[in-house]
Amino acid sequence: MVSRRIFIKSGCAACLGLSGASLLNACATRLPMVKLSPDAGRVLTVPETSFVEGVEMLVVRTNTLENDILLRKVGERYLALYLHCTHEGVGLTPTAERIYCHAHGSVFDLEGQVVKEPAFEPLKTFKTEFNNHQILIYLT
Amino acid sequence: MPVYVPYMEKRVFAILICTYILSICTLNAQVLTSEDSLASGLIERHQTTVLSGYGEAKYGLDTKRQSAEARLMRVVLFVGHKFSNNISLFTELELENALVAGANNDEGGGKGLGGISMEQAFLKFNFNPSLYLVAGLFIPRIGFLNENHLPTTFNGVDRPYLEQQIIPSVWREVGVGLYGQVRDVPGLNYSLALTNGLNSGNFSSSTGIGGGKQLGQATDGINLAVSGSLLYYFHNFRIQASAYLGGSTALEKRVADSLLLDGGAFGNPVSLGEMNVSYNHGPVNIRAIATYIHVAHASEINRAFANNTAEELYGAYGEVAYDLFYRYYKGEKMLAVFGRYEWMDLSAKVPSNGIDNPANRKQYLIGGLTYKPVRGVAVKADYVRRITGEFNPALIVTPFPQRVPYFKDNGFVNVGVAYNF
Repeated sequence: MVSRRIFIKSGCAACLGLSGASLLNACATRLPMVKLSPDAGRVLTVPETSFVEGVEMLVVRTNTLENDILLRKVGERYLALYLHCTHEGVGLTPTAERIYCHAHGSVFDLEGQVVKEPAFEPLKTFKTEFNNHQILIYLT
Repeated sequence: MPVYVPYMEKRVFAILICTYILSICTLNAQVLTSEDSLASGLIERHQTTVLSGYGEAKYGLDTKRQSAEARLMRVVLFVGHKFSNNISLFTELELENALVAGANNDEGGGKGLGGISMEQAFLKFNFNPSLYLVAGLFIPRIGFLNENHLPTTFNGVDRPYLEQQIIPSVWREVGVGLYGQVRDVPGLNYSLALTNGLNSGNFSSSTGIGGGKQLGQATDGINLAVSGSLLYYFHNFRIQASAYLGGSTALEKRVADSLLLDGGAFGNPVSLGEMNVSYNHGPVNIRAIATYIHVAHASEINRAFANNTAEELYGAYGEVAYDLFYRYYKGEKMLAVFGRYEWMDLSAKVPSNGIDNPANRKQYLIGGLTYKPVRGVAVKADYVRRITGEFNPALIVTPFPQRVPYFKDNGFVNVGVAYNF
């Protein structure tokens, strides 16, 4: 007969093992980051070459903004989502499937639409333009 | 001596005042709802203030005692202010149970049973978008609900019982906390916090370590606590593990010495570990949590305070919910049917100078509905069956008829409303 304590300990160990294995798996899908210079201004420029083969989204960081931008390549267009929770402004955690607020539990899809509250409003998107092998992100 | 103003002059005066207030609001308005907080990260507007809040009310019927409660459980007002891209303020002011009043008030002398408290009040310093530090009164990341306690985000009229009785509910302390994301592993977040410790003088057999929360009012002792968590989002799973280790002697050294208690920073330590997992895909939502607490030197705490502190406490729960409206509204509206089973033991191990109480071995079976006509508003109904062991008669100090009868097997019918904006 397994005692409750042993059951809990075994269960936790199994869960930790499962999550550890998942972590190793996830390491292979690291999100690339493009860091822009401090004087990037209101129009951010991301080289097309940042989207190497197999990369469909990357994180853009500039000190102009409080939080990062998730830049996605969707077919021929580029979608720039501001990773700033519309609930209380906490920076968001992007993954391959969804975007999460680690602080209060809001969940957004990769189009920026709310999947789960407490956020009600979709993520802010910035206008993008593809020009001369550069992706331009307009912050205004 | 009062000054009497003619009627017409009063009206003109009132109109002028209203016009003045409106013009100020129009010209200088910086108070935004959470919807407007979209703008708070823009480069043009470095300072913004955000108003938000939540609340919940319930009607609960105890079927065995034939007694009911109708309470406005809490109303919380959130005010946040962004000073710059790197520094923000977060505050939550909570009024519990509707009324806090003294003897001389319009609502009837001495009726106020409620409480006013700060649920959070901290400054957030961003090092970069993936790393920030908070300082002040904040809620460390332990369990599901401690940090994410908005009433529209969980099923059931009451918060899950394990996260009230084993893991203290909305457990905030003063300190500093570091929160970050691991860039190399998308979806992995971590936190590390240093806060004041617990006060073991307020532990008890029936409420565990919950009474030991100091809630921003720690005034004695040098006890500290460290806690940390790992939170990982993977496909449709949210996996979290956290741990806490803290000293529980909230007494200055000379008093602690007189009670033969270790008054050091981690004296008479309390350790807590928990792990929780949730899965959300379409209309299905499943969550589970398990937690374990060890109170070292519980016998010394009992010797000093005679509060029957247990040495070990643990419990777990699992919940399954299904959104019947998901097919039509994709979460915009929701009618979730849910079931939850909770099991806990607040006296899993009792020191030799403690008294075991089988009533602390509890099981809860909860089934109910959560209806959301719109995101941010929830109407809830549930039935709770609570099954426990016998109450140890050695612990009964209040004679009949004052003593509230104890039922090993009891049922509760609850309905409630909740909002969050």
